[in-house]
Amino acid sequence: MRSSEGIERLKRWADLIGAGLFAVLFLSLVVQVVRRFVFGTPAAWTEELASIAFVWVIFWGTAFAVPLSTHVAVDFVVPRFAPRVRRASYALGLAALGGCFLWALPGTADYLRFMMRERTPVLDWPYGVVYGVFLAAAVMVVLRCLAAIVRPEAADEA
Amino acid sequence: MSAAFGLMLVAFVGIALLRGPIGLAMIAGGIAYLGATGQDMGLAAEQILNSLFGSFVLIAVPMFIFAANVMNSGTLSERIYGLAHAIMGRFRGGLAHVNVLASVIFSGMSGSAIADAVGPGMVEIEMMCRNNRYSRPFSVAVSAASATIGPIIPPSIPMVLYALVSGASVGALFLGGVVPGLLMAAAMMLVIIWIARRRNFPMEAPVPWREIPRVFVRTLLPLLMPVVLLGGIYSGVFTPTEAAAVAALYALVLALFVYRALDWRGLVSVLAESARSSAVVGVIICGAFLFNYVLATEQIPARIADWFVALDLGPLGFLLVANLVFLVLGCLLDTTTLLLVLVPLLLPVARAVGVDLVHFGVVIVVNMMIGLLTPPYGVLLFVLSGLAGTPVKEIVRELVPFIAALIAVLFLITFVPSLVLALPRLAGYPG
Repeated sequence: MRSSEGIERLKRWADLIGAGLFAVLFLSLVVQVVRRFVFGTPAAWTEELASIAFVWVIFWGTAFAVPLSTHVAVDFVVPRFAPRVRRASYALGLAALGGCFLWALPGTADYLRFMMRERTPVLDWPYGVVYGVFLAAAVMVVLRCLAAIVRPEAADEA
Repeated sequence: MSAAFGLMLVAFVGIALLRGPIGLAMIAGGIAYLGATGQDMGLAAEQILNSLFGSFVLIAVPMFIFAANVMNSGTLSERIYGLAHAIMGRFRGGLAHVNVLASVIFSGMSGSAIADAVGPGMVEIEMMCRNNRYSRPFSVAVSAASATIGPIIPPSIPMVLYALVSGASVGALFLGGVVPGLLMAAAMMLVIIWIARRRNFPMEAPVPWREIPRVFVRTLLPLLMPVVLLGGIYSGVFTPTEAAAVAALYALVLALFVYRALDWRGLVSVLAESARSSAVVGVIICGAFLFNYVLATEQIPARIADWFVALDLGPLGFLLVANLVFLVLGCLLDTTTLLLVLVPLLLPVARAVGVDLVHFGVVIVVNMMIGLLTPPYGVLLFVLSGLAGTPVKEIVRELVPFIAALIAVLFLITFVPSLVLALPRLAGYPG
Protein backbone atom coordinates (compact mmCIF):
# COMPACT_ATOMS: atom_id res chain seq x y z
CA MET A 1 0.00 0.00 0.00
CA ARG A 2 2.81 2.38 0.84
CA SER A 3 4.23 2.26 -2.66
CA SER A 4 0.84 3.14 -4.18
CA GLU A 5 0.56 6.09 -1.78
CA GLY A 6 3.97 7.22 -2.91
CA ILE A 7 2.89 6.97 -6.55
CA GLU A 8 -0.26 8.97 -5.82
CA ARG A 9 1.85 11.72 -4.26
CA LEU A 10 4.21 11.73 -7.24
CA LYS A 11 1.23 11.98 -9.59
CA ARG A 12 -0.09 14.97 -7.66
CA TRP A 13 3.27 16.68 -7.90
CA ALA A 14 3.52 15.90 -11.61
CA ASP A 15 0.10 17.48 -12.08
CA LEU A 16 1.11 20.57 -10.08
CA ILE A 17 4.26 21.01 -12.16
CA GLY A 18 2.13 20.68 -15.30
CA ALA A 19 -0.13 23.42 -13.95
CA GLY A 20 2.96 25.55 -13.23
CA LEU A 21 4.28 25.09 -16.77
CA PHE A 22 0.89 26.04 -18.16
CA ALA A 23 0.89 29.14 -15.98
CA VAL A 24 4.31 30.11 -17.40
CA LEU A 25 2.94 29.67 -20.93
CA PHE A 26 -0.10 31.84 -20.17
CA LEU A 27 1.79 34.51 -18.26
CA SER A 28 4.50 34.97 -20.87
CA LEU A 29 1.80 35.74 -23.44
CA VAL A 30 0.09 38.12 -21.02
CA VAL A 31 3.41 39.88 -20.40
CA GLN A 32 3.95 40.08 -24.16
CA VAL A 33 0.62 41.83 -24.69
CA VAL A 34 0.97 44.11 -21.67
CA ARG A 35 4.52 45.20 -22.54
CA ARG A 36 3.59 46.05 -26.09
CA PHE A 37 0.34 47.91 -25.41
CA VAL A 38 0.73 49.32 -21.95
CA PHE A 39 4.43 50.12 -21.91
CA GLY A 40 5.15 50.23 -25.63
CA THR A 41 8.32 48.18 -25.09
CA PRO A 42 7.86 44.78 -26.72
CA ALA A 43 10.15 42.06 -25.41
CA ALA A 44 11.57 39.34 -27.64
CA TRP A 45 11.95 36.81 -24.83
CA THR A 46 8.21 36.41 -24.17
CA GLU A 47 7.50 34.64 -27.45
CA GLU A 48 10.46 32.34 -26.97
CA LEU A 49 9.56 31.52 -23.38
CA ALA A 50 5.98 30.76 -24.46
CA SER A 51 7.26 28.40 -27.17
CA ILE A 52 9.52 26.64 -24.66
CA ALA A 53 6.71 26.33 -22.12
CA PHE A 54 4.45 24.97 -24.88
CA VAL A 55 6.94 22.19 -25.69
CA TRP A 56 7.25 21.39 -21.98
CA VAL A 57 3.48 21.39 -21.32
CA ILE A 58 2.93 18.83 -24.08
CA PHE A 59 5.74 16.43 -23.25
CA TRP A 60 5.64 16.82 -19.47
CA GLY A 61 1.96 15.93 -19.68
CA THR A 62 2.63 12.97 -21.97
CA ALA A 63 5.40 11.74 -19.69
CA PHE A 64 3.92 12.21 -16.23
CA ALA A 65 0.32 13.41 -16.20
CA VAL A 66 -1.67 11.67 -18.95
CA PRO A 67 -2.26 7.88 -18.78
CA LEU A 68 -2.24 6.02 -22.12
CA SER A 69 -5.96 5.33 -21.79
CA THR A 70 -6.74 9.08 -21.67
CA HIS A 71 -5.24 9.76 -25.11
CA VAL A 72 -7.47 9.89 -28.17
CA ALA A 73 -7.84 6.33 -29.47
CA VAL A 74 -9.97 4.30 -31.85
CA ASP A 75 -12.38 2.73 -29.40
CA PHE A 76 -14.79 0.72 -31.51
CA VAL A 77 -12.71 -2.27 -32.63
CA VAL A 78 -10.97 -3.84 -29.64
CA PRO A 79 -13.90 -3.52 -27.14
CA ARG A 80 -16.00 -5.78 -29.41
CA PHE A 81 -13.64 -8.73 -28.98
CA ALA A 82 -14.02 -11.43 -26.31
CA PRO A 83 -12.18 -10.43 -23.09
CA ARG A 84 -9.11 -12.60 -23.67
CA VAL A 85 -8.71 -11.59 -27.30
CA ARG A 86 -9.29 -7.98 -26.25
CA ARG A 87 -6.49 -8.07 -23.71
CA ALA A 88 -4.14 -9.87 -26.09
CA SER A 89 -4.77 -7.47 -28.98
CA TYR A 90 -4.43 -4.39 -26.78
CA ALA A 91 -1.13 -5.79 -25.49
CA LEU A 92 0.03 -6.47 -29.05
CA GLY A 93 -0.65 -2.85 -30.08
CA LEU A 94 1.14 -1.55 -27.01
CA ALA A 95 4.11 -3.84 -27.62
CA ALA A 96 4.45 -2.43 -31.14
CA LEU A 97 4.07 1.13 -29.83
CA GLY A 98 6.54 0.73 -26.98
CA GLY A 99 8.90 -1.18 -29.28
CA CYS A 100 9.04 1.65 -31.81
CA PHE A 101 9.70 4.25 -29.10
CA LEU A 102 12.40 2.03 -27.57
CA TRP A 103 13.98 1.62 -31.02
CA ALA A 104 14.25 5.42 -31.36
CA LEU A 105 15.58 6.09 -27.84
CA PRO A 106 19.33 5.93 -28.62
CA GLY A 107 18.96 8.15 -31.70
CA THR A 108 16.81 10.59 -29.73
CA ALA A 109 19.35 10.79 -26.92
CA ASP A 110 22.14 11.37 -29.46
CA TYR A 111 20.19 14.16 -31.11
CA LEU A 112 19.48 15.87 -27.78
CA ARG A 113 23.13 15.56 -26.73
CA PHE A 114 24.10 17.20 -30.00
CA MET A 115 21.56 19.97 -29.38
CA MET A 116 23.18 20.85 -26.03
CA ARG A 117 25.65 22.89 -28.10
CA GLU A 118 22.97 24.86 -29.95
CA ARG A 119 21.31 27.73 -28.11
CA THR A 120 17.96 29.49 -28.44
CA PRO A 121 18.22 32.90 -30.16
CA VAL A 122 16.96 35.19 -27.37
CA LEU A 123 17.22 33.50 -23.99
CA ASP A 124 20.42 31.67 -24.98
CA TRP A 125 19.27 28.40 -23.39
CA PRO A 126 20.71 25.14 -24.75
CA TYR A 127 18.20 23.43 -27.07
CA GLY A 128 19.17 20.16 -25.40
CA VAL A 129 17.45 21.44 -22.23
CA VAL A 130 14.47 23.00 -24.05
CA TYR A 131 13.89 19.77 -25.97
CA GLY A 132 15.07 17.41 -23.20
CA VAL A 133 11.57 16.76 -21.92
CA PHE A 134 10.88 14.88 -25.16
CA LEU A 135 13.27 12.15 -24.02
CA ALA A 136 11.43 11.87 -20.70
CA ALA A 137 8.16 11.48 -22.62
CA ALA A 138 9.65 8.83 -24.92
CA VAL A 139 11.03 6.83 -21.96
CA MET A 140 7.73 7.10 -20.10
CA VAL A 141 5.78 5.92 -23.16
CA VAL A 142 7.95 2.79 -23.22
CA LEU A 143 7.45 2.25 -19.47
CA ARG A 144 3.70 2.89 -19.62
CA CYS A 145 3.34 0.37 -22.47
CA LEU A 146 5.33 -2.15 -20.47
CA ALA A 147 3.26 -1.57 -17.33
CA ALA A 148 -0.02 -1.97 -19.23
CA ILE A 149 1.18 -5.23 -20.80
CA VAL A 150 2.51 -6.70 -17.55
CA ARG A 151 -0.50 -5.70 -15.43
CA PRO A 152 -3.49 -5.63 -17.79
CA GLU A 153 -5.91 -5.36 -14.85
CA ALA A 154 -4.47 -1.90 -14.09
CA ALA A 155 -3.98 -0.95 -17.75
CA ASP A 156 -6.30 2.04 -17.46
CA GLU A 157 -3.85 3.77 -15.15
CA ALA A 158 -0.71 3.09 -17.22
CA MET B 1 5.30 4.28 -52.72
CA SER B 2 8.20 2.54 -51.01
CA ALA B 3 8.10 -0.56 -48.81
CA ALA B 4 9.20 1.58 -45.87
CA PHE B 5 6.14 3.76 -46.39
CA GLY B 6 3.98 0.63 -46.36
CA LEU B 7 5.60 -0.39 -43.08
CA MET B 8 4.76 3.01 -41.60
CA LEU B 9 1.12 2.68 -42.60
CA VAL B 10 0.91 -0.84 -41.18
CA ALA B 11 2.48 0.29 -37.88
CA PHE B 12 0.21 3.34 -37.58
CA VAL B 13 -3.05 1.67 -38.62
CA GLY B 14 -2.26 -1.50 -36.67
CA ILE B 15 -1.45 0.27 -33.40
CA ALA B 16 -4.39 2.67 -33.80
CA LEU B 17 -6.90 -0.11 -34.53
CA LEU B 18 -5.65 -2.03 -31.49
CA ARG B 19 -6.65 0.97 -29.33
CA GLY B 20 -3.20 2.52 -29.05
CA PRO B 21 -3.21 6.33 -28.73
CA ILE B 22 -3.54 7.78 -32.27
CA GLY B 23 -0.91 10.52 -31.84
CA LEU B 24 1.68 8.13 -30.42
CA ALA B 25 0.79 5.60 -33.13
CA MET B 26 1.66 8.19 -35.80
CA ILE B 27 5.01 8.84 -34.13
CA ALA B 28 5.64 5.09 -33.93
CA GLY B 29 4.83 4.78 -37.64
CA GLY B 30 7.26 7.58 -38.44
CA ILE B 31 9.96 5.88 -36.37
CA ALA B 32 9.36 2.60 -38.21
CA TYR B 33 9.76 4.47 -41.51
CA LEU B 34 13.05 6.07 -40.43
CA GLY B 35 14.31 2.69 -39.23
CA ALA B 36 13.34 0.90 -42.43
CA THR B 37 14.98 3.53 -44.65
CA GLY B 38 18.13 3.40 -42.54
CA GLN B 39 17.91 7.07 -41.56
CA ASP B 40 19.06 8.66 -38.32
CA MET B 41 16.47 7.76 -35.67
CA GLY B 42 17.00 11.12 -34.01
CA LEU B 43 15.24 12.65 -37.00
CA ALA B 44 11.86 11.86 -35.40
CA ALA B 45 12.62 14.04 -32.39
CA GLU B 46 14.18 16.71 -34.60
CA GLN B 47 11.19 16.99 -36.95
CA ILE B 48 8.64 17.03 -34.13
CA LEU B 49 10.49 19.44 -31.85
CA ASN B 50 11.56 21.95 -34.49
CA SER B 51 8.07 22.05 -36.00
CA LEU B 52 6.47 22.50 -32.60
CA PHE B 53 8.94 25.15 -31.46
CA GLY B 54 8.45 27.08 -34.70
CA SER B 55 4.64 27.11 -34.75
CA PHE B 56 3.72 30.08 -32.58
CA VAL B 57 0.16 30.18 -33.94
CA LEU B 58 -0.46 26.73 -32.41
CA ILE B 59 -0.15 28.20 -28.91
CA ALA B 60 -3.62 29.66 -29.51
CA VAL B 61 -4.93 26.12 -29.03
CA PRO B 62 -3.95 25.65 -25.35
CA MET B 63 -5.08 29.23 -24.66
CA PHE B 64 -8.56 28.56 -26.07
CA ILE B 65 -8.68 25.33 -24.07
CA PHE B 66 -7.77 27.29 -20.93
CA ALA B 67 -10.36 30.02 -21.61
CA ALA B 68 -13.07 27.39 -22.07
CA ASN B 69 -12.09 25.58 -18.85
CA VAL B 70 -12.14 28.84 -16.90
CA MET B 71 -15.58 29.73 -18.24
CA ASN B 72 -16.93 26.28 -17.45
CA SER B 73 -15.63 26.41 -13.90
CA GLY B 74 -17.57 29.61 -13.18
CA THR B 75 -21.23 30.53 -13.38
CA LEU B 76 -21.02 31.62 -17.00
CA SER B 77 -23.05 28.72 -18.36
CA GLU B 78 -25.94 29.59 -16.02
CA ARG B 79 -25.79 33.26 -17.02
CA ILE B 80 -25.87 32.46 -20.73
CA TYR B 81 -28.69 30.00 -20.11
CA GLY B 82 -30.62 32.77 -18.33
CA LEU B 83 -30.33 35.13 -21.29
CA ALA B 84 -31.27 32.48 -23.87
CA HIS B 85 -34.19 31.42 -21.68
CA ALA B 86 -35.52 34.96 -21.42
CA ILE B 87 -35.53 35.29 -25.20
CA MET B 88 -36.59 31.85 -26.48
CA GLY B 89 -38.42 30.18 -23.56
CA ARG B 90 -41.83 31.57 -24.58
CA PHE B 91 -42.05 29.47 -27.78
CA ARG B 92 -43.26 25.89 -28.17
CA GLY B 93 -40.34 23.60 -27.44
CA GLY B 94 -38.83 26.66 -25.77
CA LEU B 95 -36.08 24.94 -23.81
CA ALA B 96 -34.82 23.15 -26.92
CA HIS B 97 -34.56 26.52 -28.68
CA VAL B 98 -32.86 27.92 -25.59
CA ASN B 99 -30.32 25.12 -25.87
CA VAL B 100 -29.43 26.11 -29.45
CA LEU B 101 -29.34 29.85 -28.76
CA ALA B 102 -27.13 29.36 -25.69
CA SER B 103 -24.70 27.40 -27.88
CA VAL B 104 -24.61 30.28 -30.37
CA ILE B 105 -23.80 32.74 -27.57
CA PHE B 106 -21.24 30.46 -25.96
CA SER B 107 -19.56 29.72 -29.27
CA GLY B 108 -18.63 33.39 -29.53
CA MET B 109 -16.40 32.78 -26.51
CA SER B 110 -15.25 29.21 -26.96
CA GLY B 111 -13.49 27.47 -29.80
CA SER B 112 -14.24 23.93 -28.78
CA ALA B 113 -17.36 21.80 -29.28
CA ILE B 114 -16.50 19.64 -26.27
CA ALA B 115 -16.34 22.71 -24.00
CA ASP B 116 -19.74 23.79 -25.28
CA ALA B 117 -21.18 20.34 -24.58
CA VAL B 118 -19.79 19.91 -21.07
CA GLY B 119 -20.52 23.54 -20.06
CA PRO B 120 -23.80 25.01 -21.30
CA GLY B 121 -24.77 21.69 -22.93
CA MET B 122 -24.98 19.89 -19.57
CA VAL B 123 -26.80 22.80 -17.87
CA GLU B 124 -29.45 22.69 -20.59
CA ILE B 125 -29.85 18.91 -20.40
CA GLU B 126 -30.60 19.22 -16.67
CA MET B 127 -33.11 22.03 -17.27
CA MET B 128 -34.86 20.18 -20.10
CA CYS B 129 -35.13 16.93 -18.11
CA ARG B 130 -36.39 18.59 -14.92
CA ASN B 131 -39.92 17.27 -14.18
CA ASN B 132 -39.58 14.98 -17.22
CA ARG B 133 -40.70 17.69 -19.61
CA TYR B 134 -38.39 16.50 -22.35
CA SER B 135 -37.04 13.01 -22.80
CA ARG B 136 -33.42 12.59 -21.79
CA PRO B 137 -32.21 11.27 -25.17
CA PHE B 138 -33.82 14.20 -27.00
CA SER B 139 -32.28 16.73 -24.58
CA VAL B 140 -28.84 15.16 -24.94
CA ALA B 141 -29.24 15.10 -28.73
CA VAL B 142 -30.04 18.83 -28.86
CA SER B 143 -27.04 19.64 -26.66
CA ALA B 144 -24.75 17.47 -28.78
CA ALA B 145 -26.00 18.86 -32.09
CA SER B 146 -25.89 22.50 -30.97
CA ALA B 147 -22.37 22.06 -29.54
CA THR B 148 -21.11 21.67 -33.11
CA ILE B 149 -21.66 25.42 -33.58
CA GLY B 150 -18.88 26.11 -31.03
CA PRO B 151 -15.90 25.90 -33.41
CA ILE B 152 -17.79 27.39 -36.39
CA ILE B 153 -18.67 30.77 -34.89
CA PRO B 154 -15.30 32.26 -33.91
CA PRO B 155 -13.05 31.62 -32.07
CA SER B 156 -12.25 28.11 -33.23
CA ILE B 157 -9.56 25.59 -32.33
CA PRO B 158 -9.95 23.45 -35.50
CA MET B 159 -9.70 26.57 -37.67
CA VAL B 160 -6.38 27.46 -36.03
CA LEU B 161 -5.15 23.95 -36.89
CA TYR B 162 -6.40 24.37 -40.48
CA ALA B 163 -4.65 27.73 -40.71
CA LEU B 164 -1.44 26.01 -39.61
CA VAL B 165 -1.51 23.41 -42.39
CA SER B 166 -2.96 25.61 -45.15
CA GLY B 167 -1.36 28.97 -44.49
CA ALA B 168 -4.82 30.59 -44.76
CA SER B 169 -5.44 33.61 -42.53
CA VAL B 170 -6.87 32.80 -39.10
CA GLY B 171 -8.81 36.07 -39.14
CA ALA B 172 -10.46 35.34 -42.50
CA LEU B 173 -11.33 31.79 -41.41
CA PHE B 174 -12.86 33.05 -38.16
CA LEU B 175 -15.05 35.60 -39.97
CA GLY B 176 -15.93 33.02 -42.61
CA GLY B 177 -17.50 30.83 -39.93
CA VAL B 178 -20.03 33.41 -38.70
CA VAL B 179 -22.73 32.97 -41.37
CA PRO B 180 -22.42 29.16 -41.57
CA GLY B 181 -22.65 28.99 -37.76
CA LEU B 182 -25.85 31.04 -37.75
CA LEU B 183 -27.24 28.91 -40.58
CA MET B 184 -26.55 25.78 -38.54
CA ALA B 185 -28.45 27.28 -35.60
CA ALA B 186 -31.37 28.24 -37.85
CA ALA B 187 -31.50 24.77 -39.40
CA MET B 188 -31.58 23.13 -35.97
CA MET B 189 -34.31 25.47 -34.77
CA LEU B 190 -36.40 24.50 -37.81
CA VAL B 191 -35.98 20.85 -36.84
CA ILE B 192 -37.05 21.70 -33.28
CA ILE B 193 -40.16 23.60 -34.51
CA TRP B 194 -41.11 20.55 -36.58
CA ILE B 195 -40.56 18.08 -33.72
CA ALA B 196 -42.19 20.40 -31.17
CA ARG B 197 -45.43 20.44 -33.20
CA ARG B 198 -45.47 16.69 -33.65
CA ARG B 199 -44.78 15.90 -30.00
CA ASN B 200 -46.61 18.88 -28.56
CA PHE B 201 -43.65 20.17 -26.53
CA PRO B 202 -44.28 22.55 -23.59
CA MET B 203 -43.76 26.32 -23.54
CA GLU B 204 -42.13 28.18 -20.66
CA ALA B 205 -43.78 30.96 -18.70
CA PRO B 206 -42.58 33.98 -20.70
CA VAL B 207 -40.06 36.26 -19.01
CA PRO B 208 -41.64 39.76 -19.23
CA TRP B 209 -39.94 41.90 -21.87
CA ARG B 210 -39.16 44.60 -19.32
CA GLU B 211 -37.10 42.02 -17.39
CA ILE B 212 -34.90 41.31 -20.38
CA PRO B 213 -32.55 44.30 -20.09
CA ARG B 214 -31.69 43.16 -16.55
CA VAL B 215 -30.95 39.61 -17.72
CA PHE B 216 -28.93 41.05 -20.58
CA VAL B 217 -26.80 43.17 -18.25
CA ARG B 218 -26.06 40.07 -16.16
CA THR B 219 -24.50 38.50 -19.28
CA LEU B 220 -23.05 41.69 -20.74
CA LEU B 221 -19.44 41.19 -19.65
CA PRO B 222 -19.11 37.66 -21.09
CA LEU B 223 -20.88 38.86 -24.26
CA LEU B 224 -18.14 41.45 -24.77
CA MET B 225 -15.53 38.72 -25.05
CA PRO B 226 -16.00 37.96 -28.77
CA VAL B 227 -15.94 41.71 -29.43
CA VAL B 228 -12.55 42.02 -27.72
CA LEU B 229 -11.28 38.91 -29.46
CA LEU B 230 -12.35 39.60 -33.03
CA GLY B 231 -11.82 43.35 -32.71
CA GLY B 232 -8.26 42.68 -31.56
CA ILE B 233 -7.45 40.30 -34.40
CA TYR B 234 -9.04 42.43 -37.15
CA SER B 235 -7.59 45.74 -36.10
CA GLY B 236 -4.21 44.00 -36.22
CA VAL B 237 -3.70 44.74 -32.53
CA PHE B 238 -3.23 41.08 -31.55
CA THR B 239 -1.94 38.00 -33.29
CA PRO B 240 -4.44 35.12 -32.98
CA THR B 241 -2.23 33.58 -30.28
CA GLU B 242 -2.20 36.79 -28.25
CA ALA B 243 -5.94 37.20 -28.76
CA ALA B 244 -6.46 33.71 -27.36
CA ALA B 245 -4.37 34.60 -24.29
CA VAL B 246 -6.32 37.84 -23.84
CA ALA B 247 -9.58 35.87 -24.06
CA ALA B 248 -8.30 33.53 -21.36
CA LEU B 249 -7.21 36.48 -19.22
CA TYR B 250 -10.60 38.13 -19.64
CA ALA B 251 -12.42 34.94 -18.62
CA LEU B 252 -10.06 34.58 -15.67
CA VAL B 253 -10.64 38.12 -14.40
CA LEU B 254 -14.41 37.63 -14.67
CA ALA B 255 -14.30 34.28 -12.86
CA LEU B 256 -11.83 35.30 -10.13
CA PHE B 257 -12.78 38.87 -9.33
CA VAL B 258 -16.11 39.87 -10.88
CA TYR B 259 -18.25 36.78 -10.33
CA ARG B 260 -16.00 35.24 -7.67
CA ALA B 261 -16.90 31.82 -9.03
CA LEU B 262 -13.35 30.50 -8.95
CA ASP B 263 -10.87 30.49 -6.04
CA TRP B 264 -7.11 30.01 -6.22
CA ARG B 265 -7.30 26.30 -5.49
CA GLY B 266 -9.85 25.98 -8.30
CA LEU B 267 -7.51 27.91 -10.57
CA VAL B 268 -4.70 25.42 -9.99
CA SER B 269 -6.94 22.52 -10.94
CA VAL B 270 -8.14 24.39 -14.04
CA LEU B 271 -4.49 24.98 -15.01
CA ALA B 272 -3.62 21.31 -14.47
CA GLU B 273 -6.66 20.20 -16.45
CA SER B 274 -5.76 22.58 -19.30
CA ALA B 275 -2.18 21.27 -19.29
CA ARG B 276 -3.41 17.68 -19.57
CA SER B 277 -5.86 18.47 -22.38
CA SER B 278 -3.14 20.41 -24.22
CA ALA B 279 -0.83 17.40 -23.94
CA VAL B 280 -3.52 15.13 -25.39
CA VAL B 281 -4.07 17.43 -28.39
CA GLY B 282 -0.35 18.22 -28.60
CA VAL B 283 0.61 14.56 -29.02
CA ILE B 284 -1.67 14.27 -32.06
CA ILE B 285 -0.18 17.47 -33.48
CA CYS B 286 3.33 16.06 -32.98
CA GLY B 287 2.36 12.76 -34.59
CA ALA B 288 0.95 14.68 -37.54
CA PHE B 289 4.19 16.69 -37.92
CA LEU B 290 6.25 13.51 -38.25
CA PHE B 291 3.66 11.79 -40.41
CA ASN B 292 3.47 14.75 -42.79
CA TYR B 293 7.26 14.86 -43.00
CA VAL B 294 7.25 11.27 -44.25
CA LEU B 295 4.34 11.95 -46.62
CA ALA B 296 6.23 14.90 -48.09
CA THR B 297 9.43 12.83 -48.44
CA GLU B 298 7.44 10.22 -50.35
CA GLN B 299 5.75 13.00 -52.40
CA ILE B 300 2.33 11.59 -51.59
CA PRO B 301 0.43 14.93 -51.65
CA ALA B 302 1.76 15.75 -55.12
CA ARG B 303 0.70 12.33 -56.40
CA ILE B 304 -2.77 12.68 -54.97
CA ALA B 305 -3.01 16.13 -56.55
CA ASP B 306 -1.98 14.76 -59.98
CA TRP B 307 -4.49 11.97 -59.67
CA PHE B 308 -7.32 14.31 -58.66
CA VAL B 309 -6.50 16.89 -61.31
CA ALA B 310 -6.50 14.15 -63.95
CA LEU B 311 -10.07 13.31 -62.91
CA ASP B 312 -11.01 16.82 -64.05
CA LEU B 313 -13.78 17.28 -61.49
CA GLY B 314 -13.72 21.05 -61.37
CA PRO B 315 -13.95 23.00 -58.08
CA LEU B 316 -17.49 21.92 -57.19
CA GLY B 317 -16.90 18.29 -58.04
CA PHE B 318 -13.77 18.33 -55.92
CA LEU B 319 -15.59 19.91 -52.96
CA LEU B 320 -18.37 17.36 -53.28
CA VAL B 321 -15.94 14.44 -53.29
CA ALA B 322 -13.96 15.95 -50.39
CA ASN B 323 -17.17 16.39 -48.39
CA LEU B 324 -18.27 12.81 -48.95
CA VAL B 325 -14.83 11.46 -48.07
CA PHE B 326 -14.64 13.48 -44.85
CA LEU B 327 -18.21 12.66 -43.81
CA VAL B 328 -17.27 8.98 -43.98
CA LEU B 329 -13.86 9.44 -42.33
CA GLY B 330 -15.45 11.66 -39.67
CA CYS B 331 -17.34 8.59 -38.47
CA LEU B 332 -14.04 6.82 -37.83
CA LEU B 333 -11.35 9.36 -36.91
CA ASP B 334 -10.97 12.39 -34.65
CA THR B 335 -10.94 15.97 -35.92
CA THR B 336 -7.33 16.81 -35.11
CA THR B 337 -5.97 13.79 -36.98
CA LEU B 338 -8.18 14.45 -39.99
CA LEU B 339 -7.26 18.14 -40.08
CA LEU B 340 -3.54 17.70 -39.68
CA VAL B 341 -2.93 14.54 -41.71
CA LEU B 342 -5.67 14.11 -44.32
CA VAL B 343 -6.55 17.72 -45.10
CA PRO B 344 -2.94 18.58 -46.13
CA LEU B 345 -3.19 15.78 -48.69
CA LEU B 346 -6.07 17.60 -50.37
CA LEU B 347 -4.73 21.15 -50.12
CA PRO B 348 -2.58 20.94 -53.29
CA VAL B 349 -5.66 19.67 -55.13
CA ALA B 350 -7.79 22.52 -53.79
CA ARG B 351 -5.19 25.01 -55.03
CA ALA B 352 -4.89 23.27 -58.40
CA VAL B 353 -8.63 23.24 -59.10
CA GLY B 354 -9.03 26.82 -57.93
CA VAL B 355 -10.96 26.40 -54.67
CA ASP B 356 -10.57 29.29 -52.24
CA LEU B 357 -8.65 28.02 -49.20
CA VAL B 358 -10.77 29.93 -46.68
CA HIS B 359 -13.95 28.54 -48.23
CA PHE B 360 -12.45 25.05 -48.24
CA GLY B 361 -11.36 25.40 -44.61
CA VAL B 362 -14.74 26.49 -43.28
CA VAL B 363 -16.54 23.78 -45.29
CA ILE B 364 -14.16 21.11 -44.01
CA VAL B 365 -14.44 22.24 -40.38
CA VAL B 366 -18.27 22.22 -40.58
CA ASN B 367 -18.00 18.75 -42.11
CA MET B 368 -15.83 17.58 -39.22
CA MET B 369 -18.20 18.95 -36.62
CA ILE B 370 -20.83 16.64 -38.11
CA GLY B 371 -18.23 13.89 -37.67
CA LEU B 372 -18.29 14.59 -33.91
CA LEU B 373 -21.90 13.37 -33.90
CA THR B 374 -21.68 10.31 -36.14
CA PRO B 375 -21.02 6.85 -34.69
CA PRO B 376 -19.02 4.71 -34.20
CA TYR B 377 -16.46 7.43 -33.46
CA GLY B 378 -18.30 10.57 -32.37
CA VAL B 379 -16.58 12.38 -29.53
CA LEU B 380 -19.63 14.48 -28.58
CA LEU B 381 -21.66 11.27 -28.33
CA PHE B 382 -19.16 9.67 -25.97
CA VAL B 383 -18.70 12.72 -23.78
CA LEU B 384 -22.39 13.50 -23.36
CA SER B 385 -23.44 9.88 -23.11
CA GLY B 386 -20.98 9.51 -20.21
CA LEU B 387 -21.92 12.76 -18.44
CA ALA B 388 -25.68 12.48 -18.90
CA GLY B 389 -25.86 8.71 -18.41
CA THR B 390 -27.77 8.11 -21.65
CA PRO B 391 -26.84 5.23 -24.00
CA VAL B 392 -25.24 6.33 -27.28
CA LYS B 393 -27.85 4.37 -29.29
CA GLU B 394 -30.76 6.39 -27.86
CA ILE B 395 -28.98 9.70 -28.48
CA VAL B 396 -28.23 8.75 -32.07
CA ARG B 397 -31.88 7.96 -32.77
CA GLU B 398 -32.87 11.48 -31.70
CA LEU B 399 -29.91 13.01 -33.52
CA VAL B 400 -30.84 11.82 -37.01
CA PRO B 401 -32.99 14.85 -38.04
CA PHE B 402 -30.36 17.25 -36.64
CA ILE B 403 -27.55 15.54 -38.53
CA ALA B 404 -29.66 15.72 -41.69
CA ALA B 405 -30.20 19.47 -41.13
CA LEU B 406 -26.47 20.02 -40.57
CA ILE B 407 -25.61 18.11 -43.74
CA ALA B 408 -28.07 20.30 -45.65
CA VAL B 409 -26.26 23.41 -44.36
CA LEU B 410 -22.92 21.81 -45.25
CA PHE B 411 -23.95 21.38 -48.87
CA LEU B 412 -25.51 24.83 -48.98
CA ILE B 413 -22.25 26.50 -47.94
CA THR B 414 -20.33 24.18 -50.26
CA PHE B 415 -22.30 25.27 -53.32
CA VAL B 416 -22.71 28.94 -52.35
CA PRO B 417 -19.17 30.06 -51.45
CA SER B 418 -20.25 33.63 -50.80
CA LEU B 419 -22.10 32.48 -47.68
CA VAL B 420 -18.64 31.82 -46.27
CA LEU B 421 -16.61 34.46 -48.08
CA ALA B 422 -18.84 37.55 -48.00
CA LEU B 423 -17.91 38.61 -44.46
CA PRO B 424 -14.14 38.07 -44.81
CA ARG B 425 -14.25 40.00 -48.10
CA LEU B 426 -16.03 42.88 -46.39
CA ALA B 427 -13.15 42.93 -43.90
CA GLY B 428 -10.64 43.06 -46.74
CA TYR B 429 -9.90 39.41 -47.51
CA PRO B 430 -8.71 39.46 -51.13
CA GLY B 431 -9.84 35.90 -52.08
